Amino acid sequence: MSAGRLLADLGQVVGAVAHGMAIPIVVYFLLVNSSYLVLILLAGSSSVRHASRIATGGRREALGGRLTPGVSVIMPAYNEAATIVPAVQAMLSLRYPRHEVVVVDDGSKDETIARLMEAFDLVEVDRPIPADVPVHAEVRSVAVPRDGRTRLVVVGKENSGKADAVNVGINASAEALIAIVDADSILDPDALLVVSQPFSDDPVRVVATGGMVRVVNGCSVTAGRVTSVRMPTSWLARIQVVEYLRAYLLGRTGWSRLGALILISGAFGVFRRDVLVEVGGLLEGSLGEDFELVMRLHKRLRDQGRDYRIVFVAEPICWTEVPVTIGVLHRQRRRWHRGLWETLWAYRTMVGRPRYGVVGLVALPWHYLFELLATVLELAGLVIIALGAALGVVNLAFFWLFMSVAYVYGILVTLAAMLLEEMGFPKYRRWRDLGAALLASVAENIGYRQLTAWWRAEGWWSSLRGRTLAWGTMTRQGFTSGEEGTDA
Amino acid sequence: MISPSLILAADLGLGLSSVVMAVVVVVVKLARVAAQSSRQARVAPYRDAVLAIAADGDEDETASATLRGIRDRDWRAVRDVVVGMLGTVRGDTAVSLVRLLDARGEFERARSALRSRVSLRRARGAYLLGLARQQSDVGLLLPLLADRSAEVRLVATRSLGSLGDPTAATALFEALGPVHGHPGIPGAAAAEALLGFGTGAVPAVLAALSAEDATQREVATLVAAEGALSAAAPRLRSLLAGDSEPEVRISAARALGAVGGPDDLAALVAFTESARPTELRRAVVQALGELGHPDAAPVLSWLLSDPDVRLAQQSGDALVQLGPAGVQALLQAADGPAGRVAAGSLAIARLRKAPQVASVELPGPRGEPAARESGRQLAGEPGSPG
Amino acid sequence: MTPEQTRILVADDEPDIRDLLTFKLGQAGYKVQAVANGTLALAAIEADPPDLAVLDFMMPGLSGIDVLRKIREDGRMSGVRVILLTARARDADVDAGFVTGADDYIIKPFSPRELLHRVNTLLARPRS
Repeated sequence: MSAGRLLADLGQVVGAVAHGMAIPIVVYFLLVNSSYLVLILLAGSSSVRHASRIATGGRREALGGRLTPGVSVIMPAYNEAATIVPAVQAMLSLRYPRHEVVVVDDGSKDETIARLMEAFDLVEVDRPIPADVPVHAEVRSVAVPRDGRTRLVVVGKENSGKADAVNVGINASAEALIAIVDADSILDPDALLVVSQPFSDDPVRVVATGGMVRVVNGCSVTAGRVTSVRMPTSWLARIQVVEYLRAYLLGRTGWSRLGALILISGAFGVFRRDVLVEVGGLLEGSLGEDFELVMRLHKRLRDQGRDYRIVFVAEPICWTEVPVTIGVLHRQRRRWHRGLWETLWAYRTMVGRPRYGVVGLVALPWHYLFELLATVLELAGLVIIALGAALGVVNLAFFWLFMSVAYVYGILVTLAAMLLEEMGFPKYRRWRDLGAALLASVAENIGYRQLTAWWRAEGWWSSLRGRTLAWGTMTRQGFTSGEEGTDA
Repeated sequence: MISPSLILAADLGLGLSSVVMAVVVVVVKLARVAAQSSRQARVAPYRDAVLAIAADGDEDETASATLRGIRDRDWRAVRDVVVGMLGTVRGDTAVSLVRLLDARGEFERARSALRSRVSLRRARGAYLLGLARQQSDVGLLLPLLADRSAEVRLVATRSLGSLGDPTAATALFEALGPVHGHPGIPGAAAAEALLGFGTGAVPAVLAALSAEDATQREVATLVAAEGALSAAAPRLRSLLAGDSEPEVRISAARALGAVGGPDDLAALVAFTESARPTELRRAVVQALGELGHPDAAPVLSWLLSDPDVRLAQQSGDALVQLGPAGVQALLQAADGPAGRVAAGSLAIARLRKAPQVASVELPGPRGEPAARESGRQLAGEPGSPG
Repeated sequence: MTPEQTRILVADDEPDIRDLLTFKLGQAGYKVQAVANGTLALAAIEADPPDLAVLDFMMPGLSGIDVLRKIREDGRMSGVRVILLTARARDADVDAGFVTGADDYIIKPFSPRELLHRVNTLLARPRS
């Protein structure tokens, strides 16, 4: 058999597969993107209404209120010497009547603790830390400011991972609400007021809240605050800006309104301390830390038959730096998706059971079907097209249809998210930023989505195989005070 | 089989929609930017007049006269600045601003907005009436406590608080429970409003301490605590002892710490037993500290070695609050098994420059002469005592 | 010292408050400089110490109380009188303010007349 015949046969097989799979793939993507659009409609009214409520929302009154619930802000830190001091400074100066900052140093090998000691004039105190949540690592030091008034606690412990660090923080916290913040996240001054409001409004039922996270690359940051919001210059970062916008508006707000929010951002989430203690804090070794925690909350509270709510506040309050190189982005996404799949798998017993309500009947199956299947089918579609092109059996009809329902529809969905942002919480002032965002919505579909589809599959695959991944470290230059934000 | 026309329809349809959506985004931004600059342009000539009233009360009424005479379009822009200022100032100047709003009919409009079908308008109306502070509006705001929109209920609660009329107190308590299928008003907002009523609300608060609804009882205990209502102490004692809701018992414990007296000591101490629920024990210990009665020292010393470390720490902090008797107890405990806890509480108290410990020499861990004070090193080094 | 020569620094992140205080104190004859955050406030005080500073408690970056602490520690600036202006009304915060060295503490929402009165009173006292 000649090579030519072989190729021709292969071509026929590919062509036949394409023919057979064409309709299902196309219909599938039509459904996925249409469901995104529906979630947008749900998110839309939420976000815009929230924006109009701010004037009468009583935020200012909460600031002076005597009964506003206290918040302990937990910041796990590992090798953050470059940025830890401005970060903690910014957390301490959040506009809130009653809060403390608990920094937990996870055995950093650099000068993280030393810099904090110096900047805040800390004194070590030999005070045992409560053991409400079981922890594995040994606490080495506890330090507080010498003035005895600044509400800062710096706990040093041996290295054992972020989950353990957060759990130590939960133990060391004094207030009834816990905010878990990444050391490199930047919060808006009113962030705590915004995310603690659902707890004040409904103290019995609300157990956790989260807010929107935006991309800080390109923004100018002064003294730990975003002073000027701008689109980044790196195209990779620009694409992530629109991606985050879409993901948060659709993924969080829509689900929150259905009562099925299962993803609170790892960059910032607020929880009731007693509930966190009850479920045992963060799970060690889980890559999907925050996601896993929320799933555990759902399961535990529904098992107890308790009436509870997990609320997403549709207001941007937290900023985070995104990777600008493909390598770091790759590692980040692979880690995220592996964590996602691992957790989805761990909680598979909730699927389809009425006891788990909207979470078990709608949210989880949706995530399985649409996230998992979407990845596989998207890749299948791309592979078929690529093979077909290589073997000369291009099915143009399929090609165009696939492109439109998967990617052009995707652009439409992203633009809808941008419209909602413009109507609710417009943050970008300059017209060129809007232009960059519009272009990024298109550019996202030329390479980026295909690449992330591949990485999603990789994450899934490695979760199946249980390989250990190396942590990617983003080299961070630190935010320079008063100058343009450092950005690639 | 995929027909060419289907493909064309899909491509055109989706493509065109995307372009339209992009255009809409641009238009929305244009509209917003234009509205903003037009608003700023309208306000600009009158900003100083608003500042004059807000800062000075405008006794010769020139600024007010100007603002009373401007066109409606300009007024709508200026109004938001005026309302904003009302959030910042109080006293005579605030009254002048309120008079200005009244002269322009804002409060009349707010009253009719209360009947609007749009919840946002009802909320804004209720908000403005809260600023107006006219007792006659209490009757208009009370029904909004049962409004179908949560936002309106919340604004009405706060506005009733600013009006300060204690006759609304009973209605506020009743509005805590679910009504017409919606949840009631938030407890914290109700409590803040009630605190604003002053002594006139006392009968309603005392009555609510015995209400059937647990939320009412809890809010009443919060108000009693923050409002220093010592008359509530006997009732608080029975709530602590026998209420069916754990949350109410915890609140009652805290309230007793704030308003209780020596008679309440025994009641509180009884609930430090290890068989009691953890959160209740912790609340009671903090209450004992706030009460500050030296007779609590023995119990608190005992609790320094409790297996619940948080409870032990809170006992240590409470002992500091007791004064010399408590500090003495801590010093004695410093050598024993509860040494770390005791020393920790003393160290923190010294940092806070609490007068009770300022002159006391503290033992360090393992019998070293002083608590570590070096802020520069992680390795321990005997610091200077005193 | 005549009022015209007396310089007051106002630091608050809300533009309404800056404008209000600039207007009120300016009208009373003081020379007012207004800044929007604690870092700028500290820089301005270090560069040219004013006679009195009105500082918002909670500002981005350096808060009012941080600025207060720093100027009390530095001998050159310790003579600056400071009024803390804040929405935080809890006893603990008021205590913290005075302990750190504030000369007065005003809670928002505030009465501009009362604030002017307190400013006049403080400035009438001889420098400590």
